[in-house]
Amino acid sequence: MTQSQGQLRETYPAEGEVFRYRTEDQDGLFAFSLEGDGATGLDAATTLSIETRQIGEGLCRTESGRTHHFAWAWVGSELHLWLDGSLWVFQRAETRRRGAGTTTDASGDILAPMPGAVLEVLVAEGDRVERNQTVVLMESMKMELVITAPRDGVVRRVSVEPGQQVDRGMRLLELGSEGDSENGS
Amino acid sequence: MFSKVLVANRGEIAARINQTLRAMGIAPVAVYSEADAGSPHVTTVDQAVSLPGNTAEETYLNIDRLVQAALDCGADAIHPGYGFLSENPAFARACREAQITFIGPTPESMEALGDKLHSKEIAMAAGVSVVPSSPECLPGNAAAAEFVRRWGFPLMVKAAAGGGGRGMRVVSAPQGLDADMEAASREARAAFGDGRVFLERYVSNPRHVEIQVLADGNGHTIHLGERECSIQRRHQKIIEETPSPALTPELRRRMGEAAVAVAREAGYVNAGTVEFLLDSRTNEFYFLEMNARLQVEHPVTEAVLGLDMVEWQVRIAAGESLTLQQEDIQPRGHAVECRIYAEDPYHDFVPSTGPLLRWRPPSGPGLRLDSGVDEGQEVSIYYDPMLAKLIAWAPDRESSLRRMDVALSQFLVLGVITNIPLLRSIMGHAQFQRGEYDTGFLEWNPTVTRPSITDEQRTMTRALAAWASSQPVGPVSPTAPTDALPSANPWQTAGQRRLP
Amino acid sequence: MEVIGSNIRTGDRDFADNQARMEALVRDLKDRLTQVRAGGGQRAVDLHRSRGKLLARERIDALVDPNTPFLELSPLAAWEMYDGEEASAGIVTGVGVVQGKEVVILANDATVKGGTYYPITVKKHLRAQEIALENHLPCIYLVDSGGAFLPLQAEVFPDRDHFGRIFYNQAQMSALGIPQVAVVMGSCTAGGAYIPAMSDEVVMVRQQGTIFLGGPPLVRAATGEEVDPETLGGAEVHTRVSGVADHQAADDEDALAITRDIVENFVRRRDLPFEVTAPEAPAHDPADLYGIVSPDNRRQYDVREVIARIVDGSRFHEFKGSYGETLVCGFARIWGYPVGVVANNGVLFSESALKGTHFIELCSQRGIPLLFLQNITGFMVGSQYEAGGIAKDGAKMVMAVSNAAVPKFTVIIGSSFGAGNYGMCGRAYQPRLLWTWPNSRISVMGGQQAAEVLATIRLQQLERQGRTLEQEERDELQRPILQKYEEEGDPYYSTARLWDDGIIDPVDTRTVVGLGIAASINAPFPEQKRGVFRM
Repeated sequence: MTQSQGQLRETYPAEGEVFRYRTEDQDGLFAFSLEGDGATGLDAATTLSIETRQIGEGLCRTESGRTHHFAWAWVGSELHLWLDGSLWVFQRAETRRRGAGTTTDASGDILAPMPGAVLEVLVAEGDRVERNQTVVLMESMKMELVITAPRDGVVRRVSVEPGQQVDRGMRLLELGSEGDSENGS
Repeated sequence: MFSKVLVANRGEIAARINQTLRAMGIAPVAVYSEADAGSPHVTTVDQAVSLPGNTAEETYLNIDRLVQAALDCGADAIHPGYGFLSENPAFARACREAQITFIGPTPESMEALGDKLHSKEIAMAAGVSVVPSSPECLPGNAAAAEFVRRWGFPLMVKAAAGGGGRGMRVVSAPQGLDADMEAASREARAAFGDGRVFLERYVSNPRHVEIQVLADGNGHTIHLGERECSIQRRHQKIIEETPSPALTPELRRRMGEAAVAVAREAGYVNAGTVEFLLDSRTNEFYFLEMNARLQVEHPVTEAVLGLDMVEWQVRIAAGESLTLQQEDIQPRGHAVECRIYAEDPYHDFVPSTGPLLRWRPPSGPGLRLDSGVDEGQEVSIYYDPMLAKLIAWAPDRESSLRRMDVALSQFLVLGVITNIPLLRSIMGHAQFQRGEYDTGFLEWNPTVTRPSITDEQRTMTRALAAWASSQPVGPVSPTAPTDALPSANPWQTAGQRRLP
Repeated sequence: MEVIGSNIRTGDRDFADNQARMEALVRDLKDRLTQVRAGGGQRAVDLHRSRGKLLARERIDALVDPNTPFLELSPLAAWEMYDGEEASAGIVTGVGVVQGKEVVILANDATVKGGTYYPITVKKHLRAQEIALENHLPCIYLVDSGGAFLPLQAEVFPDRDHFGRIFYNQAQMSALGIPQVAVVMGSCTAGGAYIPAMSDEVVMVRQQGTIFLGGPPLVRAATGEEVDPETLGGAEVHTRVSGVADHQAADDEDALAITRDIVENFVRRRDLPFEVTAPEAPAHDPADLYGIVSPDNRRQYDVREVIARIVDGSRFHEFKGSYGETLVCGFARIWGYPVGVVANNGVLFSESALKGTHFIELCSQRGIPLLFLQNITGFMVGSQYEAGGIAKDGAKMVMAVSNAAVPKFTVIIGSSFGAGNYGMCGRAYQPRLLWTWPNSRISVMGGQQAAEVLATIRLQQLERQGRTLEQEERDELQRPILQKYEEEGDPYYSTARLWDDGIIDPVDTRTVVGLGIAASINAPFPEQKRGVFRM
């Protein structure tokens, strides 16, 4: 029996979050379970019987007894998976990197990565921001620091203004999730 | 009959024409750009002529080169396929001057029909209704102003020389008009070398139904029934079927007669298609344009009639008479065609490029595939992203749609993104299945252009991805340790380069 | 290993903007390279060819194995120095492959001032020998030089790192078993005569190469003897009579063929210090580097985006990812060779320096070559940081870098200012090779900072005299400083003086570093020693 675990992220057809999984492979039976992902309401585990036909192609039988033809190929670091006429793309074990110099804490605040001056605040309270969107420009040690949003969300509060000196770890923005702002408004 | 024919096109249509020529005992000669050197339409023929360059202008739109290629290889005739130079009167004329038969209509009728404004006059002369439109006009001139005053917005800006959705804009308010006219004009000048535009009344969400006609040099003209082409994205067809679920036998007869009348009025010879806009609530139809060439979607007509349209094109061009009579045309069953595009249906249909790592089309009874690509080939940025057409035939519509859906689910493509999931969503859509649709289908049903994934599918694809990523070697190999130093030493493997 | 995910959007305007500017910089680099590769001008080239001789770079092409890379060192040496007349400092040096073995080749360019040695020529020659010595690479000297450039003899002859050092190096290398081969394809006069004389094996071209301590004019002046060069020190006399040379060749091509035979008989002992895996291209396109890196060095970007375009499969095992975040450290492979990457991602804090120290120690302990990606404006300043001991933490990093006993490679991908340069393995810390990107800047501090420091000092002086400084005066005071830093911080100023081994196209970084690591393992790693770390 082989056991393994890892992380993957779906990037096509939809950008998904990283999911962690565990697998057990024994006599062609492949058991798969998601780790700590109760929130999505998914059936978090499945067992498939998998038979490889040739490299990159196989047949898999589900618990309900349905047989599917599938195929896969690596395109650079992307795993392309074909199943029933549709394409899925996954990326291996990758956690998305934060933008340069962006520091957040658990509460979702965006903090100053180092002492310096705020040059520009590019968002306003209530603005919706996307992950990696530039939200604040700072200057420190003659370097321009680009502060980006660590995730999608809504700006709940802007705590600084241009020209202001900030210390390391000081809050620049408070970032809430979409739901919060709808409840709040 | 000809002994050798140069096929001045690429991709699936070139491959499809080659096939008929071979069956007729005629040697096909291919032409190809640099990017197409490994394409099936080139590799499968005995003789192929290279066209230096990659852009369409340098290659498949290069009249002098193509005619010279035909002369050099001793071809008797040129088949232009569709697109590129197929409706270019200058090309037909150049062929005539070089004493090479152009397989298609005369340059004169092409000229008359290729101009959308002139073709409308022909239709009116034949007693067929047309969509109201302005004469040729410029941004802000009197003709444009007059049309706007009479018909208002929304309206269409169209290129007189347009086709395939290019040089076409829907304008809903006066502010955008001038800019859109200029844009359409630019686009048409780039695509067809003719920037003339005109305005046309916008018929919102009509059905797009076309009639195939066939005429020989003796004035014998018949029609081969209709094709329903209303499923479109960005004014380009993606699914076509025949018979149309919207036509009654009576309407079919009237539209057929109208198409034949237009062809006669134009003095048309060879295969052509008369396009109509159909208001299915009132059963009124309007002449839109006549395409003086083979249509992409001709295989559905071939499927229900059991004939080879390219063969008839060649025979008529060689001077033979059309032996078919109108009453011989008795369609059998139902056929549907899906265009397989390398594009992302979920992200504004952006074209996808890359190597075709896997290309395994389905097969089975009632299926036909017209394909221009092969596994391992690179899908390049240079041409239309259509990879192939899949055609399903069955005795009735319901069965042919089911046959198509199953075939699509088995169509294995890896390496590029395709529109297959979208095509499947449409096949499974209740409205489409009832035949109640028009050219606004995608607009009214935005859900089909969003991925719809069941929880079961999601879990299964994740499980398969986890399994595949645990496999030691995939088709494109990840790192594998090796002790063989020479193969890893860049001094031996980096090739000849002078650095920095 | 984790694949670095890229957040770059190639459609962004910034990306396109950076790309256009970097393309222009690279175009400029290529133009300058083309310019110096023309050697000493058309007339000199024609004259050279009329004597049946190949040009320096043609000789190298004929010597190296077909279909292998040649890594030229400092091609832009002496750029805009000596009135711009010393193209490549009159000598072409580099690492290439002969008979499957990596060798250092030094070829005088006789079309440039007769191949004479200017101060920078000497420096370039010694640098190539240093690379040969550190990496245990055989040296092949394609000699065609008039010796020291006499008008500058004071800067060429007497000091430790002057002309004499060439022969000292030859002796040292010979003693270490690093083969020294000279191919005499032109004149080797006076001191120059020692290059072949100190070599293990010497090839001479008949009726073309000469070796003598004193040429015919000097002989006549000293002794009155009338003698022609060929009789005095030609191939015939040296291979048959004096024994100064070993092989006689008919012409350049013959000489190079003989040299290839010589190299074929070198014995190479190389025990791999680590396992090498199959190389894998980065998962992200190195061409994206143009759009990622802003030629305005003040603009920050995530250096992982750069790493992702250099290392195999973009796989990177990051070390201490959330500690001292302004320095990114981690393990990767380049062309299948293991490498520890140390890359700046902002100003260095105490934690960043400690993390860097830890990581450098880790790599030298494990015998993993180090790659420094330098983009550093300096260490954090301010009372809080001084009190926190940033000076001693920076010193720890410098200590670790200095004593790391593994091959080190440095690429300056942006700024290289102040003590950051030291901690990040600047020239003084003997990286095996040091390359720069065309957007890079190097100086003791940023020009703007220097100008402000100066203005502040001046202001204090004036205040003591009861005066103030108007903005205009202030600008006036700062302008020459800014200008000087602008000029001297330019990568071409730097490469001209051999502060680096060359300016490279960013997309070639992976290959250039890979070649460097592959060449470095010809030499055994020295024993690891450690200094006293100030705690």
